[in-house]
Amino acid sequence: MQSPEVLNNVESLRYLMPEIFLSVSIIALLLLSFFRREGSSDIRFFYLSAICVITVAIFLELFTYAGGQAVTIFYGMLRQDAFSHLFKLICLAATFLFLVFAFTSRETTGRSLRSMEYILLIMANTLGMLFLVSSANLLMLYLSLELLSFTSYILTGFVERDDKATEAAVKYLLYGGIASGVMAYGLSLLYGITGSLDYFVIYNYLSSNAVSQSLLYVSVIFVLAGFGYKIAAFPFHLWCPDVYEGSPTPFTAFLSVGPKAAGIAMAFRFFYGILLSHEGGEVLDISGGIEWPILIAIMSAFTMTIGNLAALQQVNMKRLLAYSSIAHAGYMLMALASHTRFGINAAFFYLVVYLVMNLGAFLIVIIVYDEYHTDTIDGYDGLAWRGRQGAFLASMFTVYLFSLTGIPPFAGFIGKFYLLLSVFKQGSSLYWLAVVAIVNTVISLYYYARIVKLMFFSSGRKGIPHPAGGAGRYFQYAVLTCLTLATVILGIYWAPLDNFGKIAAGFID
Amino acid sequence: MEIIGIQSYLIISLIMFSAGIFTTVSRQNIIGIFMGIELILNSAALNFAAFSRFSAINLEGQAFSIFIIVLAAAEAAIALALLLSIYRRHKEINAEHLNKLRF
Repeated sequence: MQSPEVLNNVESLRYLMPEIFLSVSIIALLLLSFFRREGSSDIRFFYLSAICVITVAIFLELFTYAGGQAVTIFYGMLRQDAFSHLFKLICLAATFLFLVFAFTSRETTGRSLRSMEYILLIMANTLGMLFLVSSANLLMLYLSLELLSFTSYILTGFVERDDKATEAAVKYLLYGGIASGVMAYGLSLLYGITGSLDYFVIYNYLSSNAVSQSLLYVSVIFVLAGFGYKIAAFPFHLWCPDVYEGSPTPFTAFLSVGPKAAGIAMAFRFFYGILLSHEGGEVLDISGGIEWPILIAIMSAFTMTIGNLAALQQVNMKRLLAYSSIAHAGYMLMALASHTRFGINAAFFYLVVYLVMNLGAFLIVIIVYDEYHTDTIDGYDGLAWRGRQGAFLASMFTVYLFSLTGIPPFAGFIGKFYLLLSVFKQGSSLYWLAVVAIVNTVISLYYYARIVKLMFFSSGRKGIPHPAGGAGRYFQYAVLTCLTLATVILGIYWAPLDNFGKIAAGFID
Repeated sequence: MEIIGIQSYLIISLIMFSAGIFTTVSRQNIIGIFMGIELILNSAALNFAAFSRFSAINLEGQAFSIFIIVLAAAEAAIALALLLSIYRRHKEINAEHLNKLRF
């Protein structure tokens, strides 16, 4: 990170177009909602306008980066570089797909979720993610993390008179409140050590001054609590299965990808930006003198092992995918623990692949819940034999499950290969982590393959016809087909994505 | 030399932080747990203000503590809204009622 070109408030505005557009749209839609009565056609209008807003934000994001210049805006508060632009695009894509899922799902459009505020909150949530991935200041980091968390609490408990949803929201809020409080304490210690909130100043201070090792350890561990909670890493993962099961399925799908991507990006910016020397070759040296990569490596090993072992005994599909997403967070932490340049590339690559395959898997869960009103694994018994549509769903689900396991030729295999490669590039000190990851992949094959077996080789409920497709079904199938194609194509021809990852990895220079 | 130095502030904030963590793990009542969270947040705010006053050259830390107070208020609003909906259901707010979701 060369000495950043710091822009003042007015000059900064043009680098913040997507965020400004999103904020203005939220306010405009809020004002508009006062003048319209709640009704079935109105909610369609609001969903469609939200989808348009997110689409425009994606295009603005692409054009904002067209200049290609990394800038630090608002007196060092935010940093807009290739890394933040690419991760912002992942977050926006997750929101876009969430809106499409929620628009077509009967679970969200049929119940009390038809109110306008649901859409406004999800857009505010997206705004929080956008700020989180580009924040270059501890205050901005904390504020955007809380914007993301607060809106998530409300969205989880949005369904009225639903015990499960309220319970999930309260658990989420209590865990989240403790984690972010502990993180704030850690940030205050870091501020006390270095005397600044700005990443760049902190980095310079730590690389040129000797600081108290024990205090820095405490502050880094406390910060890890906040970010481990956001991506649901051990030992802060306890909220995750409950929240995933309790909230509406489209929102569960969103939670498993969007905030996780933002949390990973924030962790890279924090740890790579502050605690690593920016000179040197492939493996970056640790600055500040504390061995944080080993902490992350241990966290990663425990996260994936616990996620996979707990997933083995689940009977609810949403809970199973929750534990599987915990395990995937563990895999992604490997890239952070490797502290190599390639680690950024690997994490970005894996997040894109994970977005496609995990949202695809959740879309199947949404459709099955709409059709059969079940989200237990037994409800998938003999799915492949329930008419043409059942066969279609079962074969698509098989692709996603095998991709999540990491079996070639699907994209999940390449993603996992990249993560392992980042660990190997680091050198022999982390080989044990690679071994743990490979053993975990084998464990995960068991529970993913069990679902496939249940869908294809069980005739328990054979012959139950698939209900006739209503409006919106074909649209869902089209989205499903696109996601499957992406999963397969990225498994065969991944060079373009790899190039983007290489660009993202340039943010530390 | 000042009588109340930075150590006094740090010790108080450490006591507040420990008390907050202890409260969150020992309370059954959800409001009690939430008071623990407030203690943790306020210990962080106190730390920021103290560091800003005694060691840093700028007021960033004091700004941070104001933001912590604002965010704590926002969090309390969300928490109370959720607690109200639990209270309507069970006529009390005890963490023991949160047992629908488990495997």
